[in-house]
This record gives sequence, C-alpha cells and structure tokens, in this order.
Amino acid sequence: MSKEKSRVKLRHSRYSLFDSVEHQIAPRVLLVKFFYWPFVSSGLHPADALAVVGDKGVVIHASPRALIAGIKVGDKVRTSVAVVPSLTVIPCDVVDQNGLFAKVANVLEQFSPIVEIVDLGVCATNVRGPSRYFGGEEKLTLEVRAAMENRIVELFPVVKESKDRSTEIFGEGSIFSFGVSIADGIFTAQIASRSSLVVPPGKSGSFLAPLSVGELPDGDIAGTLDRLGVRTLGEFVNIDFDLVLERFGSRGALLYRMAGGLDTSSLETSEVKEDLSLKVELLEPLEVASAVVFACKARVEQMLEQLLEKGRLCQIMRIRLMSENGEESVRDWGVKDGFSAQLLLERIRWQLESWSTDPRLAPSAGVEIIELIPRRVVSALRVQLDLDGSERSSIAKVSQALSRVDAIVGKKASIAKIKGSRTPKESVEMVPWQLHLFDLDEASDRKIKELPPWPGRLIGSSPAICFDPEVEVLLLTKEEVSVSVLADVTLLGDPYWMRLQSSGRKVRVLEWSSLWPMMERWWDPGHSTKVVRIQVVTDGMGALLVKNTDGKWLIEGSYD
Amino acid sequence: MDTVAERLVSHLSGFISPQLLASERYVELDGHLAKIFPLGRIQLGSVVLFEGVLNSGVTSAVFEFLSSGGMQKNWSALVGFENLCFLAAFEKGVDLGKVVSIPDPGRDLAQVVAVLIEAFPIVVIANPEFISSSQARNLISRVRSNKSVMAVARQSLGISGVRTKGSWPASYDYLIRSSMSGFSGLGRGSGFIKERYLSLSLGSKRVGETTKSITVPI
Repeated sequence: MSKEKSRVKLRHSRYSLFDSVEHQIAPRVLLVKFFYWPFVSSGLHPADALAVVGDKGVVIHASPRALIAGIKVGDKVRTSVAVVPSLTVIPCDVVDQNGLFAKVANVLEQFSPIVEIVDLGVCATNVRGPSRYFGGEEKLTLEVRAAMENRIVELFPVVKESKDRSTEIFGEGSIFSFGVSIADGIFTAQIASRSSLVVPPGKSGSFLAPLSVGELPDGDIAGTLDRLGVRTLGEFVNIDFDLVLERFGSRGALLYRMAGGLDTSSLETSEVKEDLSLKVELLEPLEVASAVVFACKARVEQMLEQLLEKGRLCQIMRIRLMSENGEESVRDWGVKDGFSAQLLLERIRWQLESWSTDPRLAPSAGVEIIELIPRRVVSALRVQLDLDGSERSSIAKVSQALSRVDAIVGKKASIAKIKGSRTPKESVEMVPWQLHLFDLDEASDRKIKELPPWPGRLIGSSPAICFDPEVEVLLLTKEEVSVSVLADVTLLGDPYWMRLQSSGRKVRVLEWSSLWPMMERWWDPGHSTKVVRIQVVTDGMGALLVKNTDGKWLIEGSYD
Repeated sequence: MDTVAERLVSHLSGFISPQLLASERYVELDGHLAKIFPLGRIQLGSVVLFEGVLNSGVTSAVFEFLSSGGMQKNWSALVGFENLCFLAAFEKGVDLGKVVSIPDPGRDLAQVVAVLIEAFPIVVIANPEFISSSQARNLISRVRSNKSVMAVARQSLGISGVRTKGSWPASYDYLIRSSMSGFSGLGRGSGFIKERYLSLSLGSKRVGETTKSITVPI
C-alpha cells in the first residue's frame, strides 16, 4: 500500500527530477557483485589474501581473511597493520588499474547488450528479454553464474590449478566469491546480490521494507533518519513524500524512491557507445608541457561541458599523446568523482612531463596530437548529488575567520548544540566550532524541530538569558516579610517586592506563576537538592525565571 | 562611424556602474520583522540597531531577526552575548548549526568584528563597550563593501539597575526599539507565561524618520 501511495505521490510531484520519468516502473535488473573485487584485481592468491585497501589512511575494503583477523572497514590502516603485521596494504589508486573488471563485465553482454559497470566489482544488465529466452529468471542467474566462473578461470591462472572450484574458489569467504541477483532497480538488486536472491517483479518495496535505513547510500541522511526514529526503509517510505522532499531535498527524494523499490534510473552503458572522444591536432608541434596544456585548454573545457550537458561524468579517461614523429604515449587516468577540466588538464601535463623526461621513451619531437577518450562514463546524478560548491567555499571562509578570531581572543568560538534536559541551561551544550564544522552529522541533528519530552521540563518558551552566576534576590510580601516555599507546592505569602541582594534595587512583583518543583541530582543522595521554580513578572525588570533552593531565591533567567 | 560609436561608449561607461540583481542587494525577511521593514526586506551592507531597556525583548528581537526569512540561510556570528540561552533561539527557529558565538571578545572587540565581517554575512554585537567611533566607522565601511549585515543589540540597563556601558558611536541604517507590552497565561500564583507581547518599532534613516510599530506575540 505504501508503494502505491508513493507512486502516486511521485507522479504528482512538482519536482523536476520526476518530470522526465515517463514510466514509474523500475527496470528489471540482473546484477553481479564481486564482494572482494579489489583483491581479485590486485592479483593476490585467493588462499593467502590477507589484505586491505587503504585510502587516506582508512581501510575501505578488507579481504575475507583480513575480516576474520578482526579488521573492519573504516579502521585506520596504521592500527590494522599494528594488529596484523603480515597485512598487505593496497593503495586505492592501483586497484583495477588495468581495467580487468571490464573484461569480466563483458560476460554479461552474452545475455543483454546493455551492461553497466555500477561500481568496481559490480555490474548490471537489463533482463526483461533474456530471462524469457533462458526460461525464467532463476535459470538465467545460474547461466550467468556459470559464465562468470568460466571467465574468471580464463583470466586468472591461479584459479585453474585449484581442484574443487565451486567451494574453494567461488565459495563463501574466498576473494572470488560473488553474488548474482535479479530485482527491480539497481539499489534493490545490490542488496539482493548479497544472498544471490531473485526478488519477484513488484515486490522490491516489501523486500526492502524491513531493512535498516543504514542501507541507503547516504550516511548523513540515513543517520538523521535513524535519530528521527525512522529505523527501517519501510518506515521511511511511509512518510509523506512532500515532507521528505522538504526536509532532505532532491537527494532525499532519490533515496525515498530507492527505498520504495522504485529506483527507476536506467542502466548506463559502461562501454561508451557514442563517440565522446576529443582529438586535438596542434597547428605546430609543441614540446613544453604547459604550452601543450594551454593549447588544448579551451577544447577540453568544451568537451567536459558537453558531457555534463548530457548528464554524464567521465571517471576514466584515456589520454593519448602523439609526437610529430609518430611516437605515442597512452595512459588511463581515473578520478572517482569525475573529471573537471582542471583535473584533466593536470593529468595531460603529468603524462607529458613523465613521458618527455623518461630517458628511454622520450619522444624525439614535439607533441602534435592529443586525444582524449572517455573510458568510463557514468551518470552525473549518481556520482555527485550533493555537490554544492558555494556552501563549501563559505564554510572554508567561515573556518578561516574563526581561527583568526580564536587567536585574537585566546578562547574558542563555539556553536550551541541542543540536547534533552530539564533546565534551559543544561539543554544547551556549547561545542568548539571545529567539532561542529567537521562533523556534519551533528549539523543535521540540530535541525530536529521538536525537543524530546523531558519530565519536569519548563513549559512555554524558554528564557532568552540564563544568568551565570545566578543573581540572588529576596522575594518579599507587601509587609516586607520574605516569601518561602511550603511543601514544594505553595508559597507562604504573596510576593509583592523583589529585592536584589547586590545592589539593593527593589521592584514590584505584578504576577507570578504556579510552582514547578523539581529534584536535582536525585540519583546522588549526597548532593540531591530540591528546587522550586516560578516565573515572575515585575514592573521594571520584565519577566524572570526565579528558583528557590535551600531557602534562597535566585534569578535563573530572564524572558528578554 | 566606428570611432564615433566607440567614443560614445567610452563616454557613457563613465556614468554606468555595474548592475546588481535585486537578490544580491536585499535579503527577504518573513515573520514579524517583515511587517516593519520597508518592503519586507533588508538591504545588504546595512547596520541595524536593536535597543531597549532591561528585559524589554531585545534578545528576542535578535532571535526573531536571525530566524527571519533569508537570514536563516546564512552564517551568523554573535559577539559579546554573555548569558545567552540558545534553547530560546532554537525554539524561535534559529538554525543553531550556523550560529557561532564569541561570548567574551574583551578589548579586541573591534578587531574580532572586523575579521568576522569578512566571512560572516551576519554579525551581531552586544553592548559594544570597546568600540571607538573611528573603529565603528571603519566597521561600517567594511559591512558596506562586504555586503553583510551588522546588528548591534543594546540594553540600556543591566539586571542590577546600573546603566550598561557601551553604545554604538556611529551611524546606523535601521533602529529597532523593543518593549514588552504584556504577558498572557499568568495570574497571581497560577498558570505560566504562555505568550509575551513584544512591541517593535522601526526607525530608519533610509526611509526617513517615519517609524512603523507593531505588537506581536512571541
């Protein structure tokens, strides 16, 4: 039912993301996922692969044996090596350098012409037609599995030597293990591939419903949802779509669609079918790298702009440089978030510099032709949804200014963080700004509209000012007899005057509220104190929050 | 022909200054403050003064200001607000994730504010005790060139009944005077403060001396 609801919502939404989607039916997708691809491609022996892939000092993939050794994804590389000294650490930029996965993914082309490399080790294809031809989806997965295994054996000589392939090589816990799944949409298929499931058509929503929101490919939003009490994908989909759009924007809308099993994004072909390549022939051969870069700058920018207009980003670009005398240098460059003109020009320069300084290969003449061939092109939407250049630059400016202010003042500027508590002062925690800026999860936390209900919490709005230290006063009746609290619930005498202890200033009390008795630190019998709070409206000092503890009256805050 | 046209263009360009879009010159406000600001918006590069006596709603007016319309989307810095309770700001709808507090800038106030204006679209100063009039003029010109908004909040009396030090020693563009005009929900020993009624009046050099005044529940 929730799925029907979301489908209707999507179609009526004014949001442009959905305008182009004519049919709100997720494509039937077959997906193959190699769970430990980075280790396969690094040519490690399956039996003794005790390795991790590290990026910026953090483990981003761990091989089965490494996992057994207690290393987790997200650990620091250094500590992992300390725990397991024999660990092989593979830098993330050498993973699949030679495009091995493309050769494996090609297998799917026997089944369907459109093959997308979703991620390294993950490829998908459209299966509406093929499944009929092969006699059902279950049968198709078996066919695909067999074909995949054959290709792996062809590609990796190590595997050939093994006797019992099905368990030793492709069984659970081997680096070659992979899952084949069929489901509606890539998101569902990726999850189903973990246990090689075929999710029947139209059942993706109910398949996903009991799963945790942590499955969503956005940790920030998943974390926020979790804190908001939305724990499963089913609960997420039950939220009104407009509210999700309002709260999380286009990225949230996309996740919402995924969670409902409506990941309608069509498959992208990994192999670039249309000719997107660029060939720049220089008018005269140039030798200096910066001159070459400058000469092709405009054309490169134009090329990437055209790609972006088509909603595409290039992740792997082949750069081919040819000298006047016909020597050439070919290299593939990869950038995970897609090439910008600047990054690409940088790569051209690097390649040219390393080529011309290499004593054996250096060209004998200047460069004449520069050819750029996109090798892997993906949808821009899938790679960078949250690209918000303006926001980032302003954060950079803010943090720069704040470090200067910290240096001038000698104290840390801080940002308030709301937490649940009974008193206004305790509900706020001031955190140094650095902590806040570099922890974006916390930022989304702060957007929660409602405070959790705390028993004994003051009702109504909170005082705008909380005095620290609190200001001691005397509450007096008309006859200047001090007012005291009787049995936590009533005042003995009507307040008429309030006198400040420090300056002796006396103001009239006009109105006062009923009493809020509260036990502070009740869990600690040695320090527990009874506190009674009242709101007081005065003539000349406005509205105040006054508390009585140990027979003393203190101004806690003012409603300024 | 060409030379005549060229000469004309070069002549004219002396008169034409670069055009700015309206969205670059104004921030749209909403809520209560939109009712008193001319056209419901505030010009960028301006100085706003919040004034009132003790507990007259100056702080609430500042919160109102920070949560109003386009202001909310921007980073703001609060300088010199010592006993501020951010829970109240949170309840007013201020996005605390974008509010940085420097509660005790001490004698370097002017320098701190000057640095902050470079990066923060909104800087609010409380009781500017250590700003001389020449420093204030310097700050105003920085505000103008950075297209940011600087607000100065000032309570003329402290809780002990002593006049507070520090006033704004230079010009301003908007002046918001606030006073509490009543409370509801409270009796003599019963109920609690449900609503406070805040009177806000705007005087502005930009729109002449005409003042606009409203009373709003907060």
